[in-house]
Parts: sequence; structure tokens; C-alpha cells
Amino acid sequence: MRRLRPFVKLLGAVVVVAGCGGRGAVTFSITAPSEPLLNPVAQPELVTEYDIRTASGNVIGIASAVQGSGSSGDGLLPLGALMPTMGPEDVYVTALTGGSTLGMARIKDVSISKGKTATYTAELRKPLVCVGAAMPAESASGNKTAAVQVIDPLTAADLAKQPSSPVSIAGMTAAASTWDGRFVVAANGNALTAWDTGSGKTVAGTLTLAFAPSRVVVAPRDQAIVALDPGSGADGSLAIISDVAGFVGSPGSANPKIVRMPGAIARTAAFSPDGSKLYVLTGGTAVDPCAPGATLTPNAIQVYGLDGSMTNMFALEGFAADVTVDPQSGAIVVADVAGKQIATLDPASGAPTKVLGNLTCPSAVRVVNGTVFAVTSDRDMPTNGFILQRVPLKGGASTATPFTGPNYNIPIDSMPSTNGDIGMALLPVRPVSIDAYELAVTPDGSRAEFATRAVYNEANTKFMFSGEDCTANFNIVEYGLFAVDLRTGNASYESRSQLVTQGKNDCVDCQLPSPFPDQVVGCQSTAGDKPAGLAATFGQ
Amino acid sequence: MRAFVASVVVMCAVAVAVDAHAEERRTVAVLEYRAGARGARDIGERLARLLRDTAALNVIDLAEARRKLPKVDAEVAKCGGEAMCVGAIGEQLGANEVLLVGVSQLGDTILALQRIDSKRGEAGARLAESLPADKEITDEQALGWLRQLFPPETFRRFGSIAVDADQAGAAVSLNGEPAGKTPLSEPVKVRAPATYKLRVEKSGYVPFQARVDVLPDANVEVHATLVRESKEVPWFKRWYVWATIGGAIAIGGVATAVYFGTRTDSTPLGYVMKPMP
Repeated sequence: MRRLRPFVKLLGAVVVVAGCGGRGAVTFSITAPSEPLLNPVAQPELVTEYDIRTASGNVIGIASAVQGSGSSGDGLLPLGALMPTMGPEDVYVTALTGGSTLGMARIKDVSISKGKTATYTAELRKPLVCVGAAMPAESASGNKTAAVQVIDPLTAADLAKQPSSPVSIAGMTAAASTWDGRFVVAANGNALTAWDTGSGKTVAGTLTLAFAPSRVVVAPRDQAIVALDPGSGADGSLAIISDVAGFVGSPGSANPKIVRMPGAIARTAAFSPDGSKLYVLTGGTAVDPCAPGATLTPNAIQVYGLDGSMTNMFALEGFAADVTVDPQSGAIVVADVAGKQIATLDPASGAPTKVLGNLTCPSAVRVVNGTVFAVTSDRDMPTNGFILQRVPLKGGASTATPFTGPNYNIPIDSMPSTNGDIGMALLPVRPVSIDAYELAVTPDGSRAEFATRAVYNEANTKFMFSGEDCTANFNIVEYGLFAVDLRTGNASYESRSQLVTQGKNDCVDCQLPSPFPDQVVGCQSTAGDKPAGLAATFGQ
Repeated sequence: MRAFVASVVVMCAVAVAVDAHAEERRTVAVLEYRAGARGARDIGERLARLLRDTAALNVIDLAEARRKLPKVDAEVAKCGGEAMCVGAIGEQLGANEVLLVGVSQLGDTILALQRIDSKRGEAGARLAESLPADKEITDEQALGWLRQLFPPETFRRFGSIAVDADQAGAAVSLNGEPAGKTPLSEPVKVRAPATYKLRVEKSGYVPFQARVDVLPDANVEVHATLVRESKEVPWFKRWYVWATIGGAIAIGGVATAVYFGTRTDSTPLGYVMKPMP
């Protein structure tokens, strides 16, 4: 036993050192805006969990925030032992109420290691969807843009319209959220500025560009802002702002780099997950690929570095309407109108691989949490519906969520009854195509908002009305905004304008028996605007 | 020969399943509510099975709940997750509490587990997990959730060992701890599932040794036959037998040291500091 004593003493010392070595503590300190309308945790009793994950989706910890959980008096919620990170990693903090996201924060370069004690501030923001407005290309007297909407996806309420709302944005024709969700970079015509999602106010100053951006994109980790030039001839350009923090502090002081795109005009763009590559889809924004008779020429994806140098180009086999990048895998995903498919592109060759096929005019695509969301012109017959498709990016069964399409009513010359029981006669018309030219999906994939251009087009279409032979000839464009609750499938639609481009005076002609003349009905425009600048904070 | 006899005796050990602890147990009904989700298809049944296998609980699974209350799925769906309503269903099923398994789909499959006290209709511990659609749920993962939801004592289970010997006054020990002398008045209650080293010894007799595997809620009966000692050195007194056992213990020790040296107990603790009101 005496011989064993030194060994026992050594063992004891090892145990004591191990126990007192200090395992460290990492604290995620949550801060939230003081404005109650913009504060995701304004009602703390609604918060059930704080979910902490790395950008790649690995769970760091989940702290229960329900009453009676292990919260100490100083407001600390335990996460338990944390798995060490391999190095600095970006971390996403989500405040949840049940399965719904109340707020999010993104923190750069969090590192967790044995013995480390650190505090990281998580600036929580609501996952808002902002919707601006632009003037449509189709003219109509009385066209004017509506106020900017700031939608809270949890309640579907427009925060800009709430009593004593702090939200103040003069106008927004193109927009994108910063990676950290604290600002929305908003273009209003040629002016570019930032809207603070915490205060609801636009920061002081604007950057005036030589063009009115058709799209704005922000690189992951807020490495750059890129504004796309809609182009005035054959050539387009990009404006790259490398100092995002400087821009949101003082937009007027930003010094953008203008990159020329000879012979190409950008349609839309998306960044690679590391923010080092910008994939620009060419073809311009003027083309409605779903409209009847649209002339579609194959477009391309040009790849740019943050310094503005073009490093690669994929010539596509046909016309693609939209491009996005999966933030997790980095896969380049296109809405391939010509190939009637959603496809991923080989990052080296640009060769497409089908994710979902047999689609009618897939016009907008996003990838959220590994799921592809695509708006198509597939019809949900016999109702006046179109289809939003969801499919895992890695393959698998797709889920079709129908949404009721818009409709246009042609008033027929009729007289309502004097007692008001019998109304005017209306000919309901449904669109032949729908083009979702902008799409925003919330970070939890629970809500999709998309701006659409629907076309009602009939060319010498015969039908009968009240026993008379009638002929329809018209072309009407309708702009609107769809909001689809992807948990329930419920969809709502807001028509923003109905603009008649053909058939203003004679869209329906019904032949009456001789000697009566034909009854000719004209189609009337409803002036308005088109939704533009859809931006989902933390979303896609 | 004596070793052979001892082996035969060990093989004669009889495991008798008893439900001696049933009267102390709480009953949990595992009910499932799906909001149009197709993922995590068998999660309710699997959680019920894991609870039944690992916890000191009486478990009413979905099949049994449907037998008792044919419209239970519709009733649960009607509750919409409201604790008082779900608790009332638990009361009808004769359960002390309900483990409500909610499955919804938001791109990923969202799994929400909640304990609801049937009588009080109050929600207790709750856990939500987001599962990628293409990822299978493992038993380890599901068991991890149950261990987060239920207190550790729920997972402490017991069995018993009844020892009988042909010689009265023989000392009985389990894992080296004295457990009385034969005849034992009652079976020895032990933690389960576990393996115990049983030793029955009396002066002048070759000690009887056996390895006894005790399953939860099972009573293992062991009949020990003690054989008179002779001059011959029994196998277990030979040096090489103990050298082998010593080697095995050393390897086990190293493995244990590696395990404890690399486990995450030494990693930092995490906290979330809530925003100040």
C-alpha cells in the first residue's frame, strides 16, 4: 500500500487540475430594437426557445425560454456544454415561438474552444418582407406607385400601416437585405440608401448612381453590395460597393466601382455562399418569358469577382428566367424556361442537371433550407390556379402548392335591376400566363411573396353570350403581389394594376341579328403600379 | 469437474419477469399530431417504444390509445395543441401525462415534443427540433430528446436477484458488496439493466461465482450448489487466469480514460442572455 501512495497522490492531483482547469463560457447576448413594432421579442412571454446554429446548420445549442426552464435571475438561459468549433464560424441565432420564427441575428466569426470565455452580441431583428413599387412599362393615365410595404410574416400585417408606426421609407424600386438583417439596401430611382430594420428609419444620405438599379444584391457576410443596371442599349453595367458597413453608415460617402458589361444586360444576380463570386444572369428585365409570343434567346451567366473582374461565363442552352444559389451547398440553381425545368448548373462547365422537370415557364426560383421554391405557369385545372413547386434540392418528391390566379372582368353592356338585386353582367377572363419576376422567401420557408406579371391574351377567340356569337381580341397585363403561407397553403393576392395594351375600345365584339349593329365592348385599364424591390431579411 | 458443475448451476439461473415495480409507475400516453407533414413517419410509435424500453413508465402507444379511444387521432387534432384539451384525452386514456408529438413541415420536418399533465391540463417540458427531410431519425437521437424531456430518475430501472444455495449461512455478495447470508429473506433489488458478479461462499466450500445479467423489471433466480474444497488448485486460483483478467481490466481502464479524456464535459458552457426589458 505504501508503494501505491505516490501514485494515488498523483492521480488526485490530476483530478483536481482537470476539475479546476476552467472549461470557459460562451454567452450570446441578445439585443433587440426599442421600437415595439420592430422588436421581435417585444412580448418576451411568447419566446419559447433561442436556437443557436452555425451557418452550415449544425446545432450549437437550444436554450428553452419558457417559464420554469433553467433561467437564472440574471436573465441567463443555459445552453449546456458547447461543441468546440474548428475555427471562427458564422452563427445564426433564432428566437422561436413554437415552430415560428420571431426574430433572427447573424454573428460573424464565433469561436468556441475549451477554456474560452467570450460574449457575442446578437442583434435580433424580425424576418421582414419589404415590398416596394415601380412604374410599369405599360402606360395608363393615373399610374402611380403605392407606399412601401413592410410585412411581418408572423402576423401578415403591414408594419408601415400600423398606428404610430416608426416605419418611414419614401419609395423603393429595388432592394435587398444585408446579411446581418439590420438594414435593407433600397434603391429609389437612381438613389441608393439604407433602411434600418431596427429603427424603421432610412439612414441619412443617398448615393446617386448613373442608372436606376433593376436589382440590388448583397453578398453573404456583408462583403459587398451590387446594383444591376437595367441598361439603355445593348450594354449593361454593375455598381459594386465593397464597404457595406461604410455604406449603411453614410450612403452618400460610398465609392462604387462601375463594371461594364459589353453586349449584355443583367437580369438578376446571386452570390456564392462565401461571397467571392457573383453569378449574373443576363437577358435584361424587360423580357416576360411566360407571355404568349415572347421571343426568347438563350442567355448566359457571367461570373464576377468582388473586384469586378469577369472570371467565367456559362452560355445557357436556352432562356433562363432566374438564378439563385443554395446558401448551404453553393449549388447554382436556374429557372430554365426553355428546358421547362429547375436545374442546377455545373460550376465549371455550366452544364444543367434537372432538379424538377415538365414545368410550364418556371419564372422565379429560390432555395431555402435545402428546399427549392419555384413559381411556375403550370395550371391547377379546372380552377383559375397556378402552381408554386417545392422540391428538395438533393432530389425527391415535389410538393405543389396551388394559388388562385388573378382574373379580369370585362363589363358587358347591361343594366342592373332597379331593386339592386340583379347586377351588371361581367365576363370573367383568366390569364394565359404568369411571370413571377421577383420572389422572396422567409428564412424558415414559411412564407413566400412574389411579384407577378399576368397576361390576359385572346386572339380572335370565339364564344357565345346570351345566344349571340362573340369574338374576343385583347391583350391585358396585370401586375400583382402574391403572399403564400407555405404551412397552410393559403394564398392571398393584391392586384396592383390592370393595363390594357390591346382592345381598349373593342376587346369583345358580339354580333346581333340584323338590322342591329354589333355590340362592341372596350376593356378598361385600372391604373396603378407594379410591385418591385422584394426583400426578405435573413431570407432569400 | 467442479468448474463444470458451477457452470451448469449458472446456466440453471432462471430469469423471471416480474412487474414488482409497476404499482409505483406513472403512465404516459404518447399521442401524435400531424399538420399535413409526411416526414418522421413512425416517430410516435418509435418514441413510445423507446420510452417503454428505457424508462420506468407504463406507456400507452398510439395503437393502444386507438383501441381505447377509437377517435383519438381526430380528438387530438381538434385540440390544436391546447394543453387542457390534450390533458382531458390523457385522462380518458388513464394516463398521468401525455407526450404530445407534433409533426409539421416547413421545408424541413419540424418536430415538437411536449409533456402535458393530464389531470392539471398543464404543459411541461417542451422540445422542438428541425429535421432535414432527407435525414433519418436514429434511436440515439430520439432517446436524446426523451432524456431532455424527462428527469433522469425516469430512466432509472430496477430488477432483482433471488439467491438460493444448498448450504445455509453462505455469504452472498454482489459486485463485492455483501448482500446477506443464505437463505436470503427476499430478492436483492438492483439497478437494471446491468451485469452483476455474484459470489456465494462458505468456509470449506469452493466459492460459487456467476455473472448475472439483470434486465429491467426482471427477477433472476440463482440456485448455487457449493462443492466441498479439495487440495486440488481450482482453475480460478491459477496465476495465468488472473493475469488474463488483469490485462483485460488494464485495457478497459485505458479505454475509459480515453473516453473521459475526450468527452465534451471539458468544453465551454453556453448561455443566452435574454434582452433586458
